[in-house]
Amino acid sequence: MGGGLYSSHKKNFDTTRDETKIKPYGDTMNDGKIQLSFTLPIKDGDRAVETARQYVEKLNMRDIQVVHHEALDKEFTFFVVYATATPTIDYTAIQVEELEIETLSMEETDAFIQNNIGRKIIVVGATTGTDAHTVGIDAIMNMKGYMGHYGLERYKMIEAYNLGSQVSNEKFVKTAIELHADVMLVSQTVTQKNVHIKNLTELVELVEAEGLRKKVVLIVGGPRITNDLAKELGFDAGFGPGKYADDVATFFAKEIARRLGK
Amino acid sequence: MPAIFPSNRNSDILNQILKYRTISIIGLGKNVGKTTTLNYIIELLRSTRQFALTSIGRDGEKYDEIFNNPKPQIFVPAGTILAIARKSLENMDISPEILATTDIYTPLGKIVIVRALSAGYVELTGPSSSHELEKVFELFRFYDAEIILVDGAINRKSFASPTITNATILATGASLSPNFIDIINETEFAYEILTTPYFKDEAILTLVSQIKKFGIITYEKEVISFSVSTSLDLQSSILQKIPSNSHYIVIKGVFSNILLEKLFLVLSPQKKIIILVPDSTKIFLDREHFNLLKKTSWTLQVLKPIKLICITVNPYSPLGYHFESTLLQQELRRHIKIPIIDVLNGD
Repeated sequence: MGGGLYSSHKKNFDTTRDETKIKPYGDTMNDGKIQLSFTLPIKDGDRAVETARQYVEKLNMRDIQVVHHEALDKEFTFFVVYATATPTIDYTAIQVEELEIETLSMEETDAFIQNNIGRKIIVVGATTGTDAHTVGIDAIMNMKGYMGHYGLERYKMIEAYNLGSQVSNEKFVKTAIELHADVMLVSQTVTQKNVHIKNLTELVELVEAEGLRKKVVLIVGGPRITNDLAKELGFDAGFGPGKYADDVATFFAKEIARRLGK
Repeated sequence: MPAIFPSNRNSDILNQILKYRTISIIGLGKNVGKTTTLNYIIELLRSTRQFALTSIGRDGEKYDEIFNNPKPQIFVPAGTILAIARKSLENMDISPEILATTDIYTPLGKIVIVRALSAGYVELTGPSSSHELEKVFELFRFYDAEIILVDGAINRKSFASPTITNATILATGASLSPNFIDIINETEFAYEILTTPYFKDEAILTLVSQIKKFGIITYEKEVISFSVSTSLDLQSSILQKIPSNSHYIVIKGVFSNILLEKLFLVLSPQKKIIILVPDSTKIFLDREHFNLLKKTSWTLQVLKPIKLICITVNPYSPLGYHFESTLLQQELRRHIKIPIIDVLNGD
């Protein structure tokens, strides 16, 4: 095989799709092609490229091509690598818990709240702890929304308060109590060394200790949040990547109505 | 499954457990051995009493949701009653008899009450919050459970409140920190908080009951109940009203670091002051603030004590390191006056 990105090399793998043996798809079924991008704390150059190649080899990849390398700094180099992965995965055996609710549009949610709750829902959102990212909470709460999904501030039947980032759990809970919040939304973006876990359980514990747990719907969102994790942490729901304001609003509107016995 | 150790210690622990109807297992963090502790107690209780199990988190799953490490599984004898989310029915190899369905929702589905018709491994995923636990306890009792065990999640401890469970077991272990001293310090601190002295003065307790969220009882026995929605933080307008002859500070919610700092602004640390909180699960002081409080003439007491049965230690961390079990226990015993058990090694 040449050094280029394309190859006329004859491939002899089975190209039928088998759900019990799923592999990455590059441009042919089961070719196992994967693109990796990563940074190594080493100086850019031929030695760096070889280091990156050998590193990917250690990940059990084959047909490794370092297609891009770029110095980020004197001592850091960014790489893009194409490689072939060999393991397969049984797709039929994979189960995840998804909230099985049909997402309503903004207008439908407003009407649902009007008809079933009869007053505005008060939502307080924040990025808590040392996390300075507002991107997650803004995407859900801001008027303009995100990716064509309007944020909660635009809903007629939702009173939304965005406290921003680096909010302490104490301040978040205190504000929720003072505003008589129905819903507390917490976003966690930076999750190095799992600091978010202790921060999130502390929030749940504060809400419990203040006797608030029964009164609020507690929701956590972030790139590494799943419903399984939300359950373990003690939240009512968790929203991960690909979920927007309308998904979140549908969930809490229906949950509040359910608690009211509607 | 842990072995049964025919030691006196085990029968002592069993006798302690048999005194209570609801027992919570709380941990100081992930992977400190809560599930291993639960397995140990299940083994002790086997063929003594009809017992029921639930978890406020998620236990007995094959892999950890956060670190993706293999986890200990939970093995139950036939006859055990369980409260689990519907989703977990798929992740168990007992034959379950569904006794009741509840209206408690979790992200893993509705909670159901089942009886194990055969022995086997189960995934435990019960209700996540204290008020829902109470509903589950009622159902457990309806189905004749004599002892109820509640497993914790990560470092959550609110359900160890004496208003929820009668007694508690604390799990600690190597996973807290690769630093030996940190583990000792954190465990001692948790022990100290959990065993905060119990306030019993009946005359004062009558006055305490007049206070709503936050209030003061003066040396002259005057009661001031401030109209605040929470004691998490106090505005200066409230702070200014705290009299200098305050004898008791009554907190009917969370005792936070900020609250302590605010109290220091208006009250002398040299005065004899007693701070009363409902129980030790409401104490949210960090170690620095707690030590600061200990340096004053103020004392912290609880209105309801937590019965801490024992502390279990897991000397192994899933990150690969471990400590000498006997050394860990020996060091903990310097300040901790309740049984300390390594449930993995049985000593």
